[in-house]
Parts: sequence; structure tokens; C-alpha cells
Amino acid sequence: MTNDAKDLEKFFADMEVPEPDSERKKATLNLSVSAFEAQKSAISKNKSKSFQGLSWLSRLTSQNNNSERKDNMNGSNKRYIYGGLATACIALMVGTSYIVTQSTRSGGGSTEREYNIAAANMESNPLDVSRNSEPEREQATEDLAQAARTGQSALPLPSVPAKGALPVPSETQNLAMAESMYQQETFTAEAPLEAKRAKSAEGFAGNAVMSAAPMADMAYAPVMQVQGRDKFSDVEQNSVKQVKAEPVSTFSIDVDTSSYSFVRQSLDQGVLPQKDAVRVEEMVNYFDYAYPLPKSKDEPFATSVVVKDSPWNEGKKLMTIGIKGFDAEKAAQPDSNLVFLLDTSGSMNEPKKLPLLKQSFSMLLDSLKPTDKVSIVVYAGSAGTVLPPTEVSKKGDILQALNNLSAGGSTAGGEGIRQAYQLAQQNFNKEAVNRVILATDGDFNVGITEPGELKGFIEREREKGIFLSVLGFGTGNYNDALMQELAQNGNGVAAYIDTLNEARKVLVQEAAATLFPIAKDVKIQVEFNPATVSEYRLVGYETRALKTEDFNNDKVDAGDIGAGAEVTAIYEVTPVGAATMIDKPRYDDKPPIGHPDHVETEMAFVKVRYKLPAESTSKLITTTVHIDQQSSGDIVRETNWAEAVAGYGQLLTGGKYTGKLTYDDVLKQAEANKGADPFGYRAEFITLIHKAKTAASMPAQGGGHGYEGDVIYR
Amino acid sequence: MKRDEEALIRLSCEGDAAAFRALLNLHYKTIFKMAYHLCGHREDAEDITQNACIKVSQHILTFKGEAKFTTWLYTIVLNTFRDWRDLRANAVAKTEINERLPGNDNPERAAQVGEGLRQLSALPQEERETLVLVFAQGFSHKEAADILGCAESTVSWRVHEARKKLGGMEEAI
Repeated sequence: MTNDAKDLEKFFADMEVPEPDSERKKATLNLSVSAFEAQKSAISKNKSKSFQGLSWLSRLTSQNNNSERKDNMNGSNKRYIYGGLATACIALMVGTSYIVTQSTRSGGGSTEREYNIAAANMESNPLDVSRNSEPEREQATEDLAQAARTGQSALPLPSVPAKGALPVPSETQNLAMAESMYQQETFTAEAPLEAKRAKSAEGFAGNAVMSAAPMADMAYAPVMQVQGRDKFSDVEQNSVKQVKAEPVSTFSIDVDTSSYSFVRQSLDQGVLPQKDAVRVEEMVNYFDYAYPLPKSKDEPFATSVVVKDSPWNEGKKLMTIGIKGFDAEKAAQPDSNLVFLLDTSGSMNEPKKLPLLKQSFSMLLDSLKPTDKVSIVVYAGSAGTVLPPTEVSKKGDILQALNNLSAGGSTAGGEGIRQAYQLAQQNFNKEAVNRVILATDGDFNVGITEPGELKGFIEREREKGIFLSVLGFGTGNYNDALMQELAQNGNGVAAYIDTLNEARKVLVQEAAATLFPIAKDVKIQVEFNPATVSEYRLVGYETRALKTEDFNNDKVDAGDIGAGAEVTAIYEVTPVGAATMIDKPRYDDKPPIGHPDHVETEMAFVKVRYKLPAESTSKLITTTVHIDQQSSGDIVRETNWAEAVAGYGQLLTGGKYTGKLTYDDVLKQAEANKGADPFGYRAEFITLIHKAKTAASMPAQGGGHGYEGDVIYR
Repeated sequence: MKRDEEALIRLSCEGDAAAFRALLNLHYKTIFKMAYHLCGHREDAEDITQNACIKVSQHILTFKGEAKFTTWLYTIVLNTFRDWRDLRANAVAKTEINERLPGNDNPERAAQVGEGLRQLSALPQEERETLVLVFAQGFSHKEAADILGCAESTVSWRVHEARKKLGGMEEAI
């Protein structure tokens, strides 16, 4: 390299910069616009109460358009959404956008396609926008409730150059975009941003106390720990049931999504996941669905049922139950008292583990309110409280404590888990969400070594009102089964985080669903009518099966549903008259029971039982399903998507019940029902279908046995 | 085009989401490129870009035009990169860059790109940041100084130092 400026320019010019991923870009732009809207609404709420009132009003008055919500999150509609602003204001905004649009266009197509599409829409009928924006605004408040989590004011602010550093028109720069901007305009206002870096530097040095670990009591390893192996419990697929023999099917809902992320992680490495790693219901529930919303908070969720022909087997039907949780407003977000219990064992020292964990938690802070409390306890590697309960408004301190964490050293367990619960207890707030969040790659060396005892401990704490969620990281040591069980016992979710995007989904986009339950112990019971249905099979939920009598027993624990979350359950049913898997009973030729006319068309009766978070007596919601019932609109697309995912999940587990279904069929169904997909999750799934197809041509790994899951990645 | 972007910035500051999206769209690739040069890895650059865009969304409404927009914007990108780097265990980041060099069908080309990244990563952090701003992003020394929060003379000094080191590396090969 010579001492010539041109050469250094060439040095960079020669370095080939990859193209940014277009799906990721789309997701980023959508996320950013959501955050922007949230910020705007936060500012306008501060400025004027009447804006707030309006958004509430619109929220309360029209709930019916919610099924279209996801649609409106796509690029072109989203730009007309001004949640929380008066209609007049919207009209004004549209007016100004219109002008820019014009000038943008006359500028010779300098901005990109997306904007011009919006421009085209506007031009075609600019006035329509204000009329149409009524439902959209309503949905915008929905969006905001979700997006608001990304945009709270308690964030550290990015720094800007010192005040008074005026822009200087620059000379020769090859960066056309960056260059082309306003160079003369100077605005008069106070410096809005503070220097974050300086702040965090002066910040926390003295506070992060690493308490000495009691090393002695952890000398032996827990039973479940097997190094270098990912463990899944051995699960048998739900089989086909005869309605006459077993008319009632009962299970607990499952809002976990860890299985999906694990499958993705495995396929990204080019190998099919172990069959036991695939839980079809978790894959289905990974996605957002635009199901109709419940009418009010008193009824925490709405149930919709869609019946259509099965894509897997001729003559059969799919009965898809979609449940959508009430989406609480940001204002209604409860206070949180969270304790992070973090694994810092040596095995966490990989890019996809501790560093990702740190980033994930720093993101989670953005979802919380400034007055919420957070503390950090570590175990394994080092142990003790590294951050005493701290308000989220002191984000610098919290980040500093996170930054100081390092993985490695000998395994020292200590009283990690007891300490975590103790901290949660210290700050226990009856009105708040009190939760321990355990993050680990599978090392459960938390201070209680016997899994049974650990579960019992978590259960007792749950009774006291302290819940547990589990976040899994990395592979090689992953203990899926125990993570699931612990989270279930702790009334929390188990999520598997393999990428920053996933962290954002779980901890920011869906933070409310992840952290704030709107109903607990949600159970579903379906009774099939033998007059119209001869057989049924529940797809997935194997690990969530309940006994028939457990449904009405409020002492029996079941899954929780969070704000705005969706749960989908799919039954494949065989109508009477169609070919059955099980032979028709020889001695049963009696006519169908009773058969008054109205029963004849009834196919099933769906009962959902739940408890409100603070109550101990359950409530019941029922829905009658008819064999020939028709659905139309978004819900058809949404359930089609769920069925594509379910088909895929079943193929991954061997395709025992899916007939001639192939990955190509799944692909076709998925592509046709992708919908708006504002954050690119569905697009990603489509790439996973391709990956599975490729990987399927190679030998599967692991086999079906949990403990022999001999998976060594890399 | 300049006027259009001015308008987009102004409307974004006023709360126009469509304008804001267009504005981000306009800068997306440049942000990504800067992130890539700073961190040397595609996936990480995607992450940094996303974080930076979201930070921009959260603060643009309070952007008052005190600084030039690009200076403001790329200060955010730089700070996002620094946060990202701080949150990574150092040990991990260092071994990583060697493992994760870009793959390319043309081995010679790949070696060249890889070599560039390796040389960059061997520089002290502040020198690397300075080079990226001045030579890859094309900022003047003054602007780079504003973004880095240092004196203009410091930028010139770092460029000088970095150039010496890069020259040395080249000879060593």
C-alpha cells in the first residue's frame, strides 16, 4: 500500500461488500416504521390528552376489522396509519405526503420503488385515504400497542456531535446519497440528545458486585447433564382416535416456540432435526395469525374454528381452532419485577450464546417501562448477584452489568436459583408481573441438582406468584425436555434464541405475549359428534395431553396465553361415510344417537377453559362447530398457513399420517398463503422448506430417542 | 434529488411515516456497507443495521437539524456498532473474524477481500473507524471528526498512523 489517498479508497472499493438481505431489509424497515409510529404516539400523548382519548375510543368502537390488521402492516397501507392522531390531522399529513411524492417523482425516480408504489396509490385517490383510515387507525392502535414496546423513552440516546458543530458543505465525496442533503438549513433548538457513551462510561463501575460463589456444594453434576448432546424427550405422535370409543379430546395450550427455532438452527447447518426436536404445535404457533380479536378484556380471548378439506388425505377434513388473546394497550402494561438468571458456564463462550444473550437482554430492556425493576443473578462459571434490583430507567447501569459478564472458568453453581427467587421476592409486587427469566445453553447447575426437586421448587414459587420463563441458547448442550418442563411448571414460556432477529421477535415484538399473561391454565376440550365424525387426530400437542377429567379440575395446571398471542390447534377428522383408518365396529349398527335434526350437522363442540391471571376459579367459553360450515376472508388464508406449517412439521417427523404430501406441496400452500408478512417470518419459513428438502436427501440425524440424540454440530 | 431528501428529512421530523420509510430506504445500503466495513461480517452487519435503523426511528422526531443529517445518522450507526462490539465477549469477536471470512466462488478474489478485512481488523479500533468513515464512506476529515467526536487533527493523525501500519502489513506479506 502506498501513501496515496486514492489507494486507500481503492482498498475499500476492492473489498466486495455483500448485498444486504432483502427480506431482512423489509423487516427492518417495517420494524423501524413501527418504532417511529410508537415514538410519535408517545410524544403526542404527552402533548395532548385528547389524542389519547381518540385512540381509546377508536379502539373500543370497532373491533371487527382486526382480522385485517396484519394486512395493513404491509408497506403501502402502513404509511397512512397515524395512530392516536385526529382525522383532520391525518388529512393534513396526507396532503403533505402528496406534495413530496410529487417532488420525489419529478426528481427522476431517485427514491426506490416502494415509495413510488405508495405514491401511485395516493395519486389515484388521495382523498380516499382519510376515509379509509378509520379502520386503519383503529388497527394502528393495535400495531402501536405492539410496536410501542420498541419505542419507549427510557432508551439511551445516541450521541451527536457537540453543540454548535455546524454542517460544512463538503467537497468531493463519492457518496451521492449521503451527499445530497440539506446543507444550508440550520434549525434552532436545544441539543436533543445526550452523549450516551460518556454516560455509560461514568456509569456503573462501582455497582456491579460479583459476590463470591459457594463452590463446595456443586461438586457433582446434575443427573440430566450430558456434555455435547442436545436432549429431547422421546415423544410418540398422537394417533387416530375413533369417535365412538373416545369422543373427547383434551389438551393444554402451548405457546412455546422453541421447537421452531431449534429446527431452523439445525436446518441452517444443513441437517434435518432430530424427530423429537419437532413439536408441530410449537412450529405452528411460532407465527402471528390475524385471527379475530376478542371484544373486551373481560373475555380474554376469542375462539374461531375453520373447517375445510384436508390437504393431506382425501375425504378427510381439517378442523382448525384459532385462539387470539386480547391485546393490552401499552398503557395497561403491568409493572414488571424481573430477575435474569444467567448461565455463565464455559460452554456459553460462543458467539451464539453469551454475546447473543447479552444483546437479547439489552433489547428486552426496551420493552419494559422505565419504572420496572430488573436484577441479574449468574450461575455456573461465576455465581451471585451481579446487579441488585435496578430501575429500567437506569439502563446504563444495567447494560454495564451485562457487559461485564464473561463466560468460563470452572463450574461453580451456588445458590443461583434460590438467590434469583429471593430477589424476586424482595421486590415482590402483587400488582406486577414477578418473573425469573432463566437463560442457558442447557446447564441447569442452578443450585438444585435433582430435576424433580427443581421442578417442585419452581412450582411452589409459582404458587407464591413468581413465575419462570426459560430462554435457550446454542447447541451442543441443549436440554430441551427440562427447559420445557421447567417453563411449564413456572407458568412461563420456553423460547429458543438462535439469532438476533429471534431475540427481537420474542423479547421485543412479542414481549407482551412472552411476559404478561392475560389468562392462565388454558385448556381445550373437544367433543366430537359420532353422528357426523367417525375418527379424529389431533396434530401435535403430544406433550400437552390432559385427561378428560382434568378439564374441569381447576387444580390441574395448563398453559398460559399472553397479551395478543395466538394459539392454533388442528384436528384431522374423518366424516362419517369416508374411508376410516380403523375398521368399523362389527357389532355397532345402531342408528346415530338421538338424531334430532339440529344435531345432525353438528360436528364438534369446542370448550375452552381459562383463569384470569389473578383468579383461581376457571371460566368457560364454548363454540359449536358444524360439519358444513363455511369460512371466508383472512381467516382462511391464516388457517391455510397454519396447516402448511403443520404439514411441514409432520413431514419432518416422518409423515406417518400425511399420505402423499411432499415438501413441494407444503411449499405451494405456504407461498399461496404468505399474506403480508411484515417482519419476514413467513418468508423465512419458506426458505426452511427448501432447506428441509435438500437435507432430506441426506441421512437424518439422531433418530427418535431422546437420550441417544447424538447430535454434534460442526 | 437533494431537495427531495431535504423534504423527506423535514417530513420525517414532523412525523410522516411514509417519508421516514423512504428516507431509511435511501440510506439503508450505505448503513449496511458502513456496518460491514466496521464489523467485517455480513450477518453481524445485518444486525447492526437493524439496530441502527430502529435507533434512528426512536430519535428522528427529536432531531432538530443542529448537525447535518448524515453526520447525525452515521453517528448513530457508529454508536450502534460500538454497543454491539461492547456486548460481545472480546475473546469471541477476535477468533471470529478469522473464521468467518466471506466465502466467494473466486478464491483469489476471496483471498483479496479476506486479506482486506484481516488487515482492517488488525488496526486499533479507532483507526479502523476513522478509515471506514473517510475512505469507505467518503466523509471529509471534519465530518468524520464530528461523527467520531474528536478533533479534525486527530482524524488526520489516525489516517496517517493507519496508513503506516497497513503499509507495514503489506510489506510483511
